[in-house]
Amino acid sequence: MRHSKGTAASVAASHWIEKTASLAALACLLAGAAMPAPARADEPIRIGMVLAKQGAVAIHSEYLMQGANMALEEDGGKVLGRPVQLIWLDEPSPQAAQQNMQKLIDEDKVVAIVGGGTSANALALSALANRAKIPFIAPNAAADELTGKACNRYTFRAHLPVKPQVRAMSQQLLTLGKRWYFLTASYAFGQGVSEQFQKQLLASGGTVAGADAAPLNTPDYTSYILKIRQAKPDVVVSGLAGSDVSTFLKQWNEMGMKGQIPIAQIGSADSDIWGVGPNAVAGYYSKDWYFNNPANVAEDKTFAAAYQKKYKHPAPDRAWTGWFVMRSLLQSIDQAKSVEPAAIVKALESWRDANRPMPAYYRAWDHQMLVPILVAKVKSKIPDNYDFLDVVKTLPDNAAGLDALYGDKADVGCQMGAL
Amino acid sequence: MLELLLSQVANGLVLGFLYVLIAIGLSVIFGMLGIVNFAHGAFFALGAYFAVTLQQQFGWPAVVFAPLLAGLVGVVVEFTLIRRLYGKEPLIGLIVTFGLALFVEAVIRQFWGAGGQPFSAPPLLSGFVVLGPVLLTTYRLAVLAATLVLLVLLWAGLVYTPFGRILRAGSRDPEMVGMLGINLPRVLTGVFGLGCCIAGIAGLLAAPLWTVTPSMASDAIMPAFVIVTIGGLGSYAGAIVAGLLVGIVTSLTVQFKPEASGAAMYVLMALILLVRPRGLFGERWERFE
Repeated sequence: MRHSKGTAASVAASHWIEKTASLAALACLLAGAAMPAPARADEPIRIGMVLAKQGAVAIHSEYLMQGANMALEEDGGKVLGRPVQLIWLDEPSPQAAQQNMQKLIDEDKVVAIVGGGTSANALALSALANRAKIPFIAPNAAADELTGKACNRYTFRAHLPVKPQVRAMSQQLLTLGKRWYFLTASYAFGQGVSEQFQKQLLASGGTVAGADAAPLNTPDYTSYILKIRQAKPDVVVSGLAGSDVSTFLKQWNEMGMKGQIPIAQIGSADSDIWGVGPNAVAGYYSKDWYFNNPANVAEDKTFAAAYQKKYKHPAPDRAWTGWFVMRSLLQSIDQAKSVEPAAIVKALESWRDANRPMPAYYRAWDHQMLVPILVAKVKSKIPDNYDFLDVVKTLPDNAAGLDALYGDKADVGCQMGAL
Repeated sequence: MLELLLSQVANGLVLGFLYVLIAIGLSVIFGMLGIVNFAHGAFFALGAYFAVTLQQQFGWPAVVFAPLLAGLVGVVVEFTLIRRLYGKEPLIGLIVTFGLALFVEAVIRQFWGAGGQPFSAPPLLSGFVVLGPVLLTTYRLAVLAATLVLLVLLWAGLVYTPFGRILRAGSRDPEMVGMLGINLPRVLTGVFGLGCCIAGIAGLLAAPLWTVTPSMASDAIMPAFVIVTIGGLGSYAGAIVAGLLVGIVTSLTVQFKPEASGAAMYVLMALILLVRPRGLFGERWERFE
């Protein structure tokens, strides 16, 4: 072949072909970059977990992650035919939690976020979820305003808020007496506990025997216990947080007060109670789940058994929450057949777990997960280092009462926006 | 009311002695080595955690080894890290030991987990004593006794033994001591180990009272610093007086305004420093002038 045989026309033609070809290639490249690549079947679906890796709540995060991973394993680690990846980042402060959440959204392209080990962090993450329009589930925050005044369409909560726990516990405590002493932590949670319980008490004609607010991380409660001993109340309502509960109970026992006056505590996790030890543990606790509750439904019992086998100790309530929340998310994604935020939100809103006498669901107008509240009391004879509690009451009596227990629209104060 | 006040003051004194025990190790290390040991709380926590594990594995008599183990860790830390800080600016020591404190807390969380470890006093020391209006628990009285014994032994050791004399001389004039043929670095290692051992003893004694969690290190270090500052850095008597003062002030604040009880010791520190910047019994050390 002789390449030199080029007329002016053919040279121009080949030049034109070259140009077109390179333009076309460029166009394809740009189009490919501009259009989102269609998800390949093996592209993982990523879910961001923003939970504390250090500090007082670190143990809750550990259990939540264990439960979440167990939920993942049940579905073979897949949803919509794609593998699911959990990416766990820390939340050292509300600002840092938001930064990590932003990172998960921008870099890891997560489809949803689960997180907020403390109420402060959860509120910050919730605000960002609304701005970034990404579904967010809070499994560990009790502040009422998360699904109340600060609610938004993208935020869901699967944890008992303060007011419903107070309502449930008050019913039990009023049977013990009407002079209550309040020992609460001096921050939002403790103040909420004190305020709400006092409301219930005074509405029933009771009296406040005393009210002390202790700073967080107080190492020594003996001075407080001396005051309580002097006041001789019928009940001590404790609104302490995290390991302060353990410190207080140990010292309460040390001063011979265990069994003298009943103590009530809301918002404690199993890990907080286990840390007290069988010698000193005492009181009434409100919970959403207990591993040894004889009324547990079949799927909960299966979960508890699987956890025990895997981790060689009973399942703490936070592990169940992690499992239950991840299941609700995966089932919602599956039902939505999509990972678009709006689709997931709508699917979560219509999600239900009907495998129990009172079906669990996220209430439509505030996204609070409604489950029965257990009032449990420490056993008189404790068999081991874990089985401390007997469930003495489950509220409400039937599914119709769930809505009232968690408060009506006027009480909760949530005005949800559009998607 | 008077009875309750009396009760609170007695309680405050007992609490104060526990604080003294926590602070004295810090004071010794600063006074003798010139190092501001921010990792002091970490050795306190190690003492508590070793005690929990030893008690679980070997029973109650074995817990006496817990402070010794903490001291051993201290010796290793001194050999590898702390001895590079002698004679340098105190701020460097603070930063390095702060990093060490975070590291030790993370190691504790790794080995023992992030949750609280249940630990109660031995049944022998349970119960309480009522002396008129004053209620004191048996265990705290035992802690009080142990602290007094320890303080006396430590003081006697510093004043009457050759080791103590070398130590006090070495902190004044290390060069001269070296020229006298004494292996000062080994003595300094011993002191750091001793300070950590005392922190471990405090941790062991406090473990049945407080909650054994990785964050207990930070709960101990702050009162320790406040007490050492109020009493005067490096002053033995100062740490004792300041500890008792902090204990009483905290207890009385709980009686009248509990929300402020956490801040009370800081307010006390501020007031005392305003009047006497070097603390109650603080001395002037030549090297810091």
